Amino acid sequence: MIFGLGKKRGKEKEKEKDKDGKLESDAPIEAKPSSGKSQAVGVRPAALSADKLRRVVDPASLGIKTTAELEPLTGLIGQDRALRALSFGVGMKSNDYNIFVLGPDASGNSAAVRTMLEGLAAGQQPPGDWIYVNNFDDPNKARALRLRPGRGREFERAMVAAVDELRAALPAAFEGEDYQARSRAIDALYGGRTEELIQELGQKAEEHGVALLRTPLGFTLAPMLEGKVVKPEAFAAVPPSMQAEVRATIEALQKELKAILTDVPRADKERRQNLRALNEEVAATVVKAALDDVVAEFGDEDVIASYLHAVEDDLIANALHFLADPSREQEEFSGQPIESARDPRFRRYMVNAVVSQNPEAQGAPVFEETNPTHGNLIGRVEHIAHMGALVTDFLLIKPGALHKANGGTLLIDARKLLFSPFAWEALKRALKAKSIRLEQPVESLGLVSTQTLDPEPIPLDIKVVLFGDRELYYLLAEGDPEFQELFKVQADFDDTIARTAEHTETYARLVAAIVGEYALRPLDAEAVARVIEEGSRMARDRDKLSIEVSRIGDIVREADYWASQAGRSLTTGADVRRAIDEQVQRADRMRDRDQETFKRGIVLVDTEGRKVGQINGLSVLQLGTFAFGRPSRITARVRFGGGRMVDIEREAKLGGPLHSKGVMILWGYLAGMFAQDHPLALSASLVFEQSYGGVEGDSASSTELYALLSALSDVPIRQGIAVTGSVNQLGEVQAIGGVNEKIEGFFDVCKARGLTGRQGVIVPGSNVQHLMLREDVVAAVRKDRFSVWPVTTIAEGIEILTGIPAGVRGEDGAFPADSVYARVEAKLKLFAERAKAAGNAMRLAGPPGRDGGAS
Amino acid sequence: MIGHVASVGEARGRVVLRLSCGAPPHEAAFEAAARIAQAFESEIEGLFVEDLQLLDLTGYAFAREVAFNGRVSRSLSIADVEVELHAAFRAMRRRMEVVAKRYQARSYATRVRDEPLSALARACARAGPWNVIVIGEPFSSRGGAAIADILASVRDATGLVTIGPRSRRTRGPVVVMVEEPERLLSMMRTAERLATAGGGRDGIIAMLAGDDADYLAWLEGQARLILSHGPEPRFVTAPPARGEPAVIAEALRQLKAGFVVARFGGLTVPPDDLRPLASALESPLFLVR
Repeated sequence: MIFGLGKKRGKEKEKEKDKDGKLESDAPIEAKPSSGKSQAVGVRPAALSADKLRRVVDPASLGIKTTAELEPLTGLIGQDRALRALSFGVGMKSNDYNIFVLGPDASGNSAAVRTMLEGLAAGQQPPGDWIYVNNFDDPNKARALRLRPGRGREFERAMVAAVDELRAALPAAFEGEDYQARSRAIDALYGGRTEELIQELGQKAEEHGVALLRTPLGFTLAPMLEGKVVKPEAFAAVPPSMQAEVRATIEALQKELKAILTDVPRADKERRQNLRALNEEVAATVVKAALDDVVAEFGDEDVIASYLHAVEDDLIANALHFLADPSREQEEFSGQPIESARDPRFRRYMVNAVVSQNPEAQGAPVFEETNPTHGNLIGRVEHIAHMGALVTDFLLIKPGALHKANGGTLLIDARKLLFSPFAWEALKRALKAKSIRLEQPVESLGLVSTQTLDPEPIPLDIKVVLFGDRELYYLLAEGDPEFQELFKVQADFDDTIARTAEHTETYARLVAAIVGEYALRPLDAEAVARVIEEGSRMARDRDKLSIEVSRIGDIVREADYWASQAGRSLTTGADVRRAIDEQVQRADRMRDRDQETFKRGIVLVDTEGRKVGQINGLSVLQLGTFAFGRPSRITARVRFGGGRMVDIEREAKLGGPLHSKGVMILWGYLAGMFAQDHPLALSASLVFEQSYGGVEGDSASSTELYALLSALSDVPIRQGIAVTGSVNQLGEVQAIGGVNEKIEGFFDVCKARGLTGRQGVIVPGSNVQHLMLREDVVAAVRKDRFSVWPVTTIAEGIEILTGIPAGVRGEDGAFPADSVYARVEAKLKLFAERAKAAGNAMRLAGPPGRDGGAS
Repeated sequence: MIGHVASVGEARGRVVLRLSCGAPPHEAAFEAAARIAQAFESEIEGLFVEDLQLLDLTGYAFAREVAFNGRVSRSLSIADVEVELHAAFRAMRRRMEVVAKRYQARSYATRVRDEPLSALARACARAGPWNVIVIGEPFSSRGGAAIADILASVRDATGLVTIGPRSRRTRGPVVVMVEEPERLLSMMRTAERLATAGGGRDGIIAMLAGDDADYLAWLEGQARLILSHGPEPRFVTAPPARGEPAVIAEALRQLKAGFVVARFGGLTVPPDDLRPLASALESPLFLVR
């Protein structure tokens, strides 16, 4: 580790500082050796050298002048585990082995994943076309037929051509002399006969002095004279015998009339049957001829052959639709004949090619649905307004992403999917049923009363790849049992990769790919180096690189903008720096306001001098994507008492559970370290001064312990140092998060007040590997204006803070006199004796509780 | 003709569509009326005649109405007949309005209780001499007498349009039956208006009909001479009829005419027997005196 060399150098540096008079005026109090055999040797670690604070990239090491020399990256960087999972998921031919791609940047990964999946799909069999056709037995249940790739559209065109031909051929056949002659013969046989019989009856009636008249609903007979109906009053004047004779005649004629009319329906029926038979005979010849070409071309597809039989039967039965032309008016208006596909009479013979593959294309489809609404996913049945009502037919079936990707792979952003009403449930239903059933979501709610369809479901053979972050994955896994049942493969993409030489080179190619994708200016080597360094800063780890492609892309594109503003043809390191700075500046209004409160003394934080029981802690504020650190004053007060530590944050309900845990650990440390053989008769209080929001996390637990030790020992703490790190009961300092932001936050406060060279931050030693500090911080350290100390134990930290060794127990079990620990122990013993003397039944140190121990 | 009236701005003529209270009107009759109204920028009067004789019938206790299906018969009351007539009038008016709207022709309906022929004469007299009568119901094989009666009784009509039972079209070439040179010019003008109505481009065919070849040759020469100042129609010659109207009727059918303009009482439309036309004619027949 770094501490071997660092210690020595640090001591030398401290000595140099002493010589230069840079140490604070209240010089550290030296610990005197104990009277026994205890050691007074200090364990103060050295401050980190500048090169440990930021891992820079030497532009020359990249071996390029600009990104134009690099081959753009097309795949993914260092994601072997995820790639193996993807390959496995695609290879598993089962409806429940769908894939969830976990990663922080779904959109960034999706392009690369898609490229990879397209590679895998290229070796797969291309799926066929799917068409919807009319179901002549039940028009509401449109038939779904599968054809070889590319045949759907061809069949669609062939059917239009056949109907077009029939539109010309059928009228011609029915206008033909042959048909007309036979039709007239039938009419003559049946149609004219009734009329003639009635006319004959009328003539006969006339001869008998009776008029045959038509009424709106039939016929009637009445006495007639000289061609006119005799008025009733005139008829009444006729002798009764003559009246009786006329009445008898009329009654007889009525019987004849009834006989004639009763026979009309039978004759008419026969006429219709004969005419229908003639029509079918004529139509069959024409229809068969029109469909011959279609049968010849598509008859080898079994489903088509059977469908064409149904079409033929229907065409023959409805051939007269081709003769009547209700659309003529519209044709006259537009001057153009209505296309067969739009003519309501012929829609039933059309074909809806919902899925049509390019016959030249190889492999299975890989389709990405960027707007996964229910309709876009499952497909929809559209409606058109007709006479004030919404109507539909199978031609209004619109395919969804599942149709388009059927037989291949479908990529969906999981978050968008979940935010689309009904879409997630519909997708699961389709996957479980292995079929796409067109169902409108409102149908299931019973909200639809208009005419709709229930088309045949299409068998589904698909691999669904969802993209989402980990939080979403775990949420689904926990909350939706069907999720894990259907998405058994997780392709977990790391958000960072190791910063190896190989990956650094690949990273440069990623930058080149971004340049190519957005047609940007090439980046010079220094610019690429800065982007790589920023990748490490985003990863918050000097040995890692972030692969959040979209954020990297943002920096490169913004740098390009600044290069254009500067009139450069190349994007330089300065442009990348500016892009980063501008990004920060756009987001750091709150940080500015925060810094101002320190500068104006509104928030009290000392950066010079020494004080007992007071220390600077560090915290991180996250505002959207921007995070920054800020110091907070932490104070500790101690007194003789009943073994109770008051965590004021918790008492005020501002402290979270992790923070409280950290405070309780302090109690354990104190008891174990200093109160093995006497009660811990201590009352202490800890507080984050001027903190009005919640405090969470245990990253300040070591800081609080330092404050407590200072208060107990009466040894002042250097206020120019801020501290972060958690501590365990053994006094070991543990890693925390946000180390860079915290250091930079304190640095900014010190810088605003003027760097003295005696300021710095104590961080856990295990956090050194995460250091990727801003260049201005590194520069200040390089000039000895600021320091960063790594510590592994409380003993190391307290020595840096006080200038006095913590102390190690000698063979006699005692700490060296005047060491920090000796003073602490003495104070605690004093408290214990007082407690004993007071005979007070104080509760002793033990497991913390609300009223006893730490709380 | 009423075309002349429209052109010179004299009192407007009308298309009087006679709707009988008995036989239901044929759809082609509505189409024909509307097309003529469109061609002559005229209007349609739907004249619904409630036959007085029918109302007289209700005074007979023994008079029965036999329904068209022959299975129902009932005695007639004045109230029942009036309800039936009212319903029939409304239905016919509605049909007429729909067709007239399609041809952008103005239409209105009147309902009179009269003897049919008198009612027609009175209606035509109301608007001056420039009327064309369209008979709603199809003519029967013996309908010639009825046509003759109308032409004889209604003086204020320049033409009469009737349709056969097989009528089914009003679009297609307008065929002018040329049996003699007289009235050829006015018949041709009528044909021109019909052919170009509503922006249509239906052609005009002059069909020469006669009993022998010499007469036909002479007739063609005369016709060409008379029509030499206007657009020349296509001349066709009907096969020698030898006094048989069925030959002419079949020739007309084969031409798929949209309208036939002919003189009543000639070879094409004999005054007594309309049987050949009834079995063959698929378009309205525009008869001139």
